[in-house]
Amino acid sequence: MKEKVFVKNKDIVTRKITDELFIVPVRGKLADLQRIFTLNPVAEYIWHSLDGKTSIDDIRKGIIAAYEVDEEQANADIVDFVTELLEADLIRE
Amino acid sequence: MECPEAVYPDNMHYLRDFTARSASLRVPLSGSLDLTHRCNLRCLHCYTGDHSGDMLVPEMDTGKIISLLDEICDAGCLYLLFTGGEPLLREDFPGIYRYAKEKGFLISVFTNGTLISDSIVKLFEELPPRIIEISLYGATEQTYDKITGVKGSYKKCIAGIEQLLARRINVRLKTILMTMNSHEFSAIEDTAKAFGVKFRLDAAIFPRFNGDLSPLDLRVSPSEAVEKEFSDVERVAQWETFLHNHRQRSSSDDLYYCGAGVTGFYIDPGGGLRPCLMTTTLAYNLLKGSFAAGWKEIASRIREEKTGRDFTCKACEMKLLCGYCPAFFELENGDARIRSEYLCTMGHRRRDNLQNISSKRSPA
Repeated sequence: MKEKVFVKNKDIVTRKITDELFIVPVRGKLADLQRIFTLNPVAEYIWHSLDGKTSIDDIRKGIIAAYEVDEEQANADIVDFVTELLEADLIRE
Repeated sequence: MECPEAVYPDNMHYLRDFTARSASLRVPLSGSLDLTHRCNLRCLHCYTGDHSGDMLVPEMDTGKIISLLDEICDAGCLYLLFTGGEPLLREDFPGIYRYAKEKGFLISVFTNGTLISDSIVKLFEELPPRIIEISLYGATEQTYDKITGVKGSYKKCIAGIEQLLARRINVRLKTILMTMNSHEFSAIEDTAKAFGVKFRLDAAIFPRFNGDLSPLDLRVSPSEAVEKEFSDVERVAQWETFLHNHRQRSSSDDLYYCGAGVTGFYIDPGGGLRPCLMTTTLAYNLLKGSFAAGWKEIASRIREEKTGRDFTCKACEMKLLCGYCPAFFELENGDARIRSEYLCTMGHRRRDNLQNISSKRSPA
């Protein structure tokens, strides 16, 4: 997964309300699931970095620098979160 | 009652922690936008609509509504209800709905279901709403059409529901329980079950906004209303959960302790911003000022409303069970601090029923 880049699904809108970032599915089947997603600060950092250019490895390095977490923890956070996003169809490779 | 969030338990499935944080910060998280008071039906119990014409107001144009959507989005609104009147009567409804969806609101629509067209179904299919709530006033053409005053409206409503469900749009049905349809209540509930959709009932009919008290004649007795409410185990469970989650709120000195003016707001078709649909005495004109300024004003003014020492409901432990609503009291009695005897009796009946259920579960 290290070299892979991901892009956000176009059928969603992100909303920042108070200190929470919400991912709101807008169109089609994704929105039909009646779900919204909220992100914690590390997840929010990862989410913003999924821009179709930044690789997973670069995002990992960014997390380590920004949140003072060790490499193992950063790896776990990013793999878990990206897998979750892929399963929910919120991002694509 | 068209209050989308106040005390009715099945509307409390919010993101609880986030809502509590939003309340402490006075974020206008949940809003109702009344697009028009016009309606193609003439329901006997309706508090608004164009029965006599004196409740119609010049409506905001499309551009004003779009700019308002931008403003309320910036202010933090997430849950948005489009209501009326009949919102689908506005020709610009599809454009307004589309714009709001693309802004990232979670949208509900209250409609009578008689104006569902192929293009509306396609719109909801492409941009799914959180829920489309349709009022079903009867289980037969005879009863439904008598209440709405429009021949053929029952068939159109049922066809509308079928059209939406055929395309898997999320529909919920509700009925306003009244003397004219109470004999069909079970059949209305069965209709909802047959459609496989959620259902709720509301018996708290209130006066028209022009002061006309005639809808009150349609109320069923509080005992009958509560009996029908408690005929369903799920609704009983909802009351129990609601009570469990909200016990601490009942000791407040604030006259209003629901979400109105805390996280909730209502905008009428003419641009009047209020804490909720029924608080007609607190308003801010959005044609003359911004949403942010209006929200600040009404959120502050509603906090200034206190119960007062002699208010009979102040220390009442049944405040959570009666559908307590000062705005309702104001409409019914002309004073927000004079309780509605109708709601009060319903509260007593609910308490008695819940106590009976509890004692049967754990006999002494």
